[in-house]
Amino acid sequence: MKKILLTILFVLLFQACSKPNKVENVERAFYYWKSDNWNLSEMEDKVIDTQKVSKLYVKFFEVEHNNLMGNIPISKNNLSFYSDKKFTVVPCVYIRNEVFLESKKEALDLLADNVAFLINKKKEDNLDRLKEVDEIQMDCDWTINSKENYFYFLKKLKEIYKKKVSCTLRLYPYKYPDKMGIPPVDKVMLMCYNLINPLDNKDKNSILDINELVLYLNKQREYPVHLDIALPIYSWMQLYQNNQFTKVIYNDFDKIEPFLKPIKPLWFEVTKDITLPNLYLRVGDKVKYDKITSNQLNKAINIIKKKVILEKQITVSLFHLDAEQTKYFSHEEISTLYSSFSK
Amino acid sequence: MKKFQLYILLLVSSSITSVFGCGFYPYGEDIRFCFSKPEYFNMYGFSEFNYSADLFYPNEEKFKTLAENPNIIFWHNYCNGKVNYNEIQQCVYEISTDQFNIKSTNQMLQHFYLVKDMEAIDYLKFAKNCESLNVFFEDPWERNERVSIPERAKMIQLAINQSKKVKSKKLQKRYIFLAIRLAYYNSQPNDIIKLFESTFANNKQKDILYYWSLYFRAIIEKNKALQSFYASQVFINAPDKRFAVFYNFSNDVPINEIIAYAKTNQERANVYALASIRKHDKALEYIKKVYELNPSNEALSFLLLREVNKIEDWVFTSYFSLYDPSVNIFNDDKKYSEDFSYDQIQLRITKDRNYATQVLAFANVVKTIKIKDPLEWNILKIQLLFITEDYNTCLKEIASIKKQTFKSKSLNNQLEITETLCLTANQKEGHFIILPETKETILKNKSNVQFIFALGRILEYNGNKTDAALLFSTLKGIGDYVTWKSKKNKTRSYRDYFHEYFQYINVMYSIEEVKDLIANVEDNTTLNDAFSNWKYNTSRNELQKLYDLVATQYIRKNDLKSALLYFEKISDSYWDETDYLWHRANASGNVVDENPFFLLKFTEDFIPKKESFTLNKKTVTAKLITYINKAENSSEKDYYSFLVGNCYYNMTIHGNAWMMRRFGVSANDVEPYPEDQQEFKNGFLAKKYYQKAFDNAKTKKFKALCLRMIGRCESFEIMYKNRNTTYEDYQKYTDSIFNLNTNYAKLKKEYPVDYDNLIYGCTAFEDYFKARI
Repeated sequence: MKKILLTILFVLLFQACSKPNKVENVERAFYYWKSDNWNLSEMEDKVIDTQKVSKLYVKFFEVEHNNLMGNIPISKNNLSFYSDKKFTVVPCVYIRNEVFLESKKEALDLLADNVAFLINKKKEDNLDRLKEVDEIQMDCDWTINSKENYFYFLKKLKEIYKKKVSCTLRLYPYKYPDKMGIPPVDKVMLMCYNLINPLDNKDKNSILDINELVLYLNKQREYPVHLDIALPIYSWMQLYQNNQFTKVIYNDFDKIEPFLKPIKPLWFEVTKDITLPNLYLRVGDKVKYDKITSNQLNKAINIIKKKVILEKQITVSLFHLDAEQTKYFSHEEISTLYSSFSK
Repeated sequence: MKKFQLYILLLVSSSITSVFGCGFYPYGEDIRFCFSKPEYFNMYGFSEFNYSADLFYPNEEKFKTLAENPNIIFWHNYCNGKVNYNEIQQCVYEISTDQFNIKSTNQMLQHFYLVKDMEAIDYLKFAKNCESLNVFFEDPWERNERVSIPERAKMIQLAINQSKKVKSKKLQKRYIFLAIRLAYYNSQPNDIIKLFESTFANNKQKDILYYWSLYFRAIIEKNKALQSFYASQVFINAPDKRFAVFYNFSNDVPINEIIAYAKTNQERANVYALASIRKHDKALEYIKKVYELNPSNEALSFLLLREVNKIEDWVFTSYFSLYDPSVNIFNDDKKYSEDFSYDQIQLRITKDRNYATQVLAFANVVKTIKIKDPLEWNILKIQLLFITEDYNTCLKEIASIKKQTFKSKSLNNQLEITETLCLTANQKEGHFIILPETKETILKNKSNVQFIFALGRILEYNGNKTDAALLFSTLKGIGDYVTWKSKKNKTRSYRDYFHEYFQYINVMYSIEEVKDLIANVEDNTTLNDAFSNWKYNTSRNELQKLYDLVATQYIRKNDLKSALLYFEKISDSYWDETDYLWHRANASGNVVDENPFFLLKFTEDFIPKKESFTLNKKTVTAKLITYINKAENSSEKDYYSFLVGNCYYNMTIHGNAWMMRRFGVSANDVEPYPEDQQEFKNGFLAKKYYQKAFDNAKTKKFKALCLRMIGRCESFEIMYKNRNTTYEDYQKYTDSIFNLNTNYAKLKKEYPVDYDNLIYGCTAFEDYFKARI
């Protein structure tokens, strides 16, 4: 009997330490982060249709602090839809951390008001054919010093906007909520990428390094706000000419790859002069290729499923909808990224 | 190029007559007559508001000299006159703050360092730092058109603080002015009001800083009457703000409501002055008020100039060119929907001359001793005397004013022009000539196309059409141009004007008048003085063309023998050089114009045994005379009548020899050529000779062919009587025209076998012609 009781106790304890993933339904989503397009490309439209994407997180604008003008919106997006769509759009605003370091409370009140105003204006101007949006999302890499102002702003925004406010959550504040605080929002989007400063650690994939991910997700944690998950499906190359970093390449990997010779993990040497729009690669140039594959993503998903406590209904959003990036993934590969969470 | 000209000519000739075309039509400043050129008068400060058909636009340079710039004057006075204007200009507008140091070579800075006026140096630095903030920034949040900038708000406060710190009263005010200006750009209207009220509103002495500040106070004022009042005060007292504040004066607010804010007569006069400038119709009553309230108002002489320019437009544009005034209330629809009426224009001119009399009466009452520009005032009075046709007084006044010594060459020239026009207009009826004493002025101003044209018109209207034509001919090839209409215009259209003397005399001069012109040119070929060489330059070179014109005019009257006499005066080289005639056209190989006796336009060659001869107006006329004789007297009356019919047919607008009657067909909206316009459109003579051919025809088949051609001529007549005004269903229209044709009906009835061949198959013409015998 004692043995049986001990066994039951053990099982209960084990369950308490390791909550099973209970996701039943995944809402499929994409981020759309471009600033200079007026509408989706045919390919992008097709991805949305075939993947049955029901939510598009669209960056409406960014906010920066300007010494002369104060806090101002930049990189405004004018994405418009002229026909009815099946998906909803969640307006997103990226706010630079300096905004919260430089601003006083009155400026933050004004900022919240301005952000709500401009989102509504853009919605009316460009998205009136879509279903009513019930959420907006703020994106900021807040720090300990900016935490108080950022959270004040979020509360203020919620008061003014009167609908759901969500925000992005990097893995660091997720892991250290005591230090970094819990943002006062309706839900958060856990960004499972961009773990490393691209220029700091040259031996690791700066977009997604599984070992680094494991370090952040080293144990199950209860997060007091509903969690959604964001995953990267983009890659980039960092170009080094004469051993000096010169630029990041986002496009045309398929045209460059045939002329890359591996020299060490992640690093390649250009074997032929290549001329592409706005790009001229010379023989001998070095390329660090932070490539994201479905294999890496599936590994990441397994880790997330084990270590992150998710609710039955979650949104999984892929960053980001760009035909130049999605073309490297098959329909099945993308679909699996969503469905794996509920398997 | 000649091919191109020919193409254009043919294109125009083939167009249907009274359809409005799109394209160039003279309007606005192109047609406005103006003899009192504002640039001759010393009124640069108001030149942005010169009377014009164009919109007002700001001067690139606000001031003609530095000494007129109130800011430069301020600093000149501030430095007690010790620094010259150029050094002030450099210090205030050119040197950057990092060059502000004791070693600077700029004399204004040196002066400040010498007298240890650090307040002035600090002020200038501060003002320069404000410059980049004196612009509007678009609101990036898209809430408002403009945005407030925190940095600017800080500078406003700083300016206010500095105004309290500095000892100099002048600099105190300047700091407040800077704060007001910054507040305007930062959308802080309440601060503008507060600062203006506390610093400037109660100033007894209103200096330029007051008016600069009032400018910003004016543009944020919501009460239209008060805003208009402020605007009028700024307008008169701050020359550099005139353009900026101009449109803040409302034309919609009753002037009494604006005047109600004025406390002094000067202020009231300023309101009337700006109200006058905002009017593009008669403003005399306002101008009188300005004088009554403040005779030394700076704008008074300019107001008279504007009024004279208006009257010149109303009277001279209409009188000389017969256009409506360039600044008028008609829109294009209205303009072209109404018929042209010479009598109505004359009635309006009479009314406008009467208005000029009223303006002159006022100008005479004004005591020039009290006004700012007495010389300009008197010259404008002289112009009014000319406009009112009081030539004797006008000449007397000119003689009197010429005795005064004044430096302005352009005003002197203006007087000489008026004197010449006046002398020319003041001659005895029936004896109008170019007076010898005016020749020097005319020659000196030969490039002033309006002046030369006006002289020509005065002569033309008073019976000297020869000298008029000669003066018009001198305008050829001058960069500036003048366009005009004729008394005989009946409708308004896009093609109702003339632009060149030959085009004009071709349409408007009788045979005798052109002959007089030719005689004058021929009689004066030996004159070799500068004036004659200029006057006859074009006509001497174009004498052959004038012979051509007389001959063509005879053709229009169907006086072929007289025509031939004039054609025979023309040398063969003339025909070679004339672009639109047959053999030149054939030389280029791409034009359908052919021998008018043997070929019909748009009809396949069907007459065998063609007679071959060089084609020009002379040979065609000679041949036409010969064939007409043969049609009357030979045994082949049917054959020659048919050929004559062909030629007359081709001499209509529908044929390939329209140049026998016309030098172009683009000016036909003027209702020209009364002697043959109907013939040119309908081809009555062609019909007559086809009928003669029919009457003398020996075979049934040839009779049928003649009837077909008679029917074709009839179709033109029917077409002009039943114009296709809608252009919607062309086929329906042509069918209806066709059904009205009695000769085609006759053809069908009497020659049923031949009807289809002749109506629908032009290639059958050859068989029918061969069947003549």
